[in-house]
Amino acid sequence: MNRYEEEELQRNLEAGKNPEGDELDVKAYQTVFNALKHEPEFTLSSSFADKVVRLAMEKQNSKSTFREYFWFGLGIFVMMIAAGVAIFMTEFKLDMGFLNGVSSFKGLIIFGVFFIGLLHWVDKKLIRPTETH
Amino acid sequence: MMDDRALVSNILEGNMQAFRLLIKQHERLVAHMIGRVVKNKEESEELCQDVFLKVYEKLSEFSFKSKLSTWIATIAYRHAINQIRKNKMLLSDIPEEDSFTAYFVEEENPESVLIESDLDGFVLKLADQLPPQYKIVLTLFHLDGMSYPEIGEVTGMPEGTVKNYLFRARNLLKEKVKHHLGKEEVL
Repeated sequence: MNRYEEEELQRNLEAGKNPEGDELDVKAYQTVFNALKHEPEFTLSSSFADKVVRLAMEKQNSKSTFREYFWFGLGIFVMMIAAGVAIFMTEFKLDMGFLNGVSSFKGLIIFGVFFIGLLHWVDKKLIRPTETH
Repeated sequence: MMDDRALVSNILEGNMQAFRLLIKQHERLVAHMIGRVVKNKEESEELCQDVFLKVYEKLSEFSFKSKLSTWIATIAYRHAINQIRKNKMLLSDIPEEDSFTAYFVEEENPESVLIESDLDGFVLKLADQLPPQYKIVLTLFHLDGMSYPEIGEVTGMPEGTVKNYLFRARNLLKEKVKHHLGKEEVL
């Protein structure tokens, strides 16, 4: 059989037509075409889709955690740069002298700290529990 | 049944049930392509997983210029070819010479003799001896019912090459089967 006849035979079989030609050639081609339609032995497990979905979710979560850490780190870095620039531009010098100024209001400061603590305690013990009911 | 556009937009909105549906719809296609070139079951399943994870990752880039199945098959094809390269399997072409056809047809190994009673199995074992890209083209055409242009899109081969690969692969297999059938008739 020449190439043209072979191609013609294959085309007819592809189209589902009754092929003409040497009987043995036709039979051999039909065998090949039928065999190639067979499913391969390899099949995926029944839980395959669930496994892939779980992996995709894990990958997505780890990606968003990484993104959050990245923005947090970048925020701290930018804040430090901004602080550095501010210190440089204002020629700020650290001076603890302000503590001398407030030392005469000791009682007021202690009361302030105690009062803020009390507010937190009231908020935690009395206000928040009633809101959740 | 959800159409491709609705399915993709649901997945992009974070609907994992839609992604599960996409996998169910295309797992057969991906398994055919990978299973034909990677013979280890665990390795094949892992590779299929990687294909679908890549599909999930790249889905926002899918522009509906082709069918979703063709796009997924393209990703599977690239994974299969990369795996072949990793396993150092030969991506060679079938030599044009008649001597190769003669060698392929005449050559007998114990394994093929063993299964000659089952003709379909015999043909599939022979198809396994073809270069990987031939096996994939045969699978896409005969098992997944893809057209020549679709196979060309998946593999990146010109349509003429796809036709030629199919012709030569089927011709080689036919010659071997004919040789076998001829022997049977003599007996």
